[in-house]
Amino acid sequence: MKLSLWTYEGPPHVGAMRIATAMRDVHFVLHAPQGDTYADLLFTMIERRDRRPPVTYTTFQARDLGADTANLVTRTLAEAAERYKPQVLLAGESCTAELIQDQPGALAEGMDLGCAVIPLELPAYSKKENWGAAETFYKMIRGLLAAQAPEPGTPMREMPTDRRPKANVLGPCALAFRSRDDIIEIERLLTLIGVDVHLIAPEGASPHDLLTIPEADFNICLYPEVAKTACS
Amino acid sequence: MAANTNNTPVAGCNNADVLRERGQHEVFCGLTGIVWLHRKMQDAFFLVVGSRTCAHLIQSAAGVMIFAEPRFATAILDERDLAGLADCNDELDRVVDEVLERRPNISTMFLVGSCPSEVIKLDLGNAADRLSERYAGRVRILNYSGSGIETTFTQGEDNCLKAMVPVLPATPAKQLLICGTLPDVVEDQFRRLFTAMGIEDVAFMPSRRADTPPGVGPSTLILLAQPFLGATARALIGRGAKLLDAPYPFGAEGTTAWLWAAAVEFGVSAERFEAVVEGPRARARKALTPMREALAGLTVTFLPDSQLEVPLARFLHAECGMHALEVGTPYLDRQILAGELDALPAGVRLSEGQHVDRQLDRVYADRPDLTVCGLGLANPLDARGLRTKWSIELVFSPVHGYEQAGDLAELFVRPLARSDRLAV
Ligand code: SF4
Repeated sequence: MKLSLWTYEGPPHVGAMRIATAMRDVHFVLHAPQGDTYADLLFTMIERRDRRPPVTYTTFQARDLGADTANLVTRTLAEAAERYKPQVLLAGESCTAELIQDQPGALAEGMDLGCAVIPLELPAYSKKENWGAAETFYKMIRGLLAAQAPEPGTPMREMPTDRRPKANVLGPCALAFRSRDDIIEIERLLTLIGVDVHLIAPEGASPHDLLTIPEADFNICLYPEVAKTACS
Repeated sequence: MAANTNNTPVAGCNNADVLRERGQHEVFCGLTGIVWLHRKMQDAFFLVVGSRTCAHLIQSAAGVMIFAEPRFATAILDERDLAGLADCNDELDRVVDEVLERRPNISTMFLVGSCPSEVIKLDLGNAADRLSERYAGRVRILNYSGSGIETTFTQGEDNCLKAMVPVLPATPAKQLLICGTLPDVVEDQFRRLFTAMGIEDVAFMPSRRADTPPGVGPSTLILLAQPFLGATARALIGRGAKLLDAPYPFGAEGTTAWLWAAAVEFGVSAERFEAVVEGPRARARKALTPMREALAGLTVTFLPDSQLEVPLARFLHAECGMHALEVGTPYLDRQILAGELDALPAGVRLSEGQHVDRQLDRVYADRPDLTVCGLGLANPLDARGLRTKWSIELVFSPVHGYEQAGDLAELFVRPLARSDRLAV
């Protein structure tokens, strides 16, 4: 137990929300009580985004405990997939749901939701927000690109000689300090040295866009706190 | 109270069908009340026993309102606490010691339960007793739940006040006990009005200092200033007090009816009452006139949030000429809302609980001129060309009584005026 008068970082599921909110065509079903919906205001008020974050909370209550919280999860997953029709559905839980062990990730994988499902494990009692963002981005890339991964020991691809090299800029995401200005600046600098930007992610990217990551020649890990896990 | 419900005129919407919904809720949990409770009770400390999420929530809800040395904190549970409850209790004692050592001026500490502490069945009632013994004579330790699995937003205040009821001193005196956190200036205004009517014995709960709480007894008359204190009222009734049947003191007429409910019980004559309220009521009506011009005929929808929805819808309807389309509330406590429900016109869609996606579908279909909602929803609604008022402002701003009637209405006028300016 630790006395906290002020916390600079939120819990890991808020990190996962930052990835989901930055991207397009992703939806996040979070097994969490009603009060955890406060996190929406971080995006709509503090960051002034004009859309709700793509998150559906199960908002279970005390009277649901021991009865049908798992049912509530599957119902919420089905409704969210139907209503939002995402390319990728993330399924995870906040601190309280972690204790009741409904395993929303496994439940989602066992359902036919008509979209790719990526289960998230976000240990709320040992990890924090940035870890949650990095882990979610990594899980998303690994989940989507596992089939395209080169065999271990495959030599690095040669830099092309017939065209300008292309880079992925990885790390810009929701609720990141100054990230919009940083993107403009880095694009300008890359152009100056003759490098094209292939993809910026997660901010503004869809899961389909992430599939094209291997088309670039190299990755720039702009914010290690978000993208280092995915880049390594 | 029950009698009043049964005598409901058919025109009111007390008996109307209520749309009950179950889906995603978009509301704060009861921990949020700490933000205003700690400002009111200047010698109280609130220690949340919870997770990093709980700490983050209070900070996010409080926003810029945090003082340099806030009188609240979170004891964040970690993996070791989850492993064994015995150690967890030791840890809690250690954290309480740490806080009280740093803050010698604290007379009352609330251990505030959260979802995680309740799910692991950490017995904070027990902990409060244990620690009260250890700090006997110096600090009183109480406990209540602000968890999101048990409480929504303002219910945290209800639970906090209810936790204080058993420790209130007994008093045989005939007194008026006003319940609900009010800004000090509003409290002073009400006290002056009652004094002018000859009602001298007026107490407020919570009081400004937790170490000088009001008394309670069989001659105590409870007047609720906030429409979310049902559990507190029932606990006070359990100690012999009587709950007065009244609307809530919003607007010129709401305030008059509220004051009158108490005046009658103390035998204040109609003439004397008139003489006292005449001036301030006229001021309130005057302040409301231009607001009514701006609001009359416009439509409003309340999304469930603070529990103030029903009384405020009544105020906007009766005193500002607005039409309420949907009035959503986290839960309907008919005992303490009876008078208010009667005053809502028939045809208002009353909803309890929430399925936020479906409710937003209704808002998009209704397109009210004004939507009163939580902070998570306001900007997205604005982006769709709807105008919004943040319900949390209604909890944090002085809005009760005659002198604030104009300000209260103005809170609703402002978003409309702003978007008029944008439209030009
Ligand atoms: S809903 Fe529960 S876990 Fe979330 S902040 Fe509130 S008390 Fe903490």
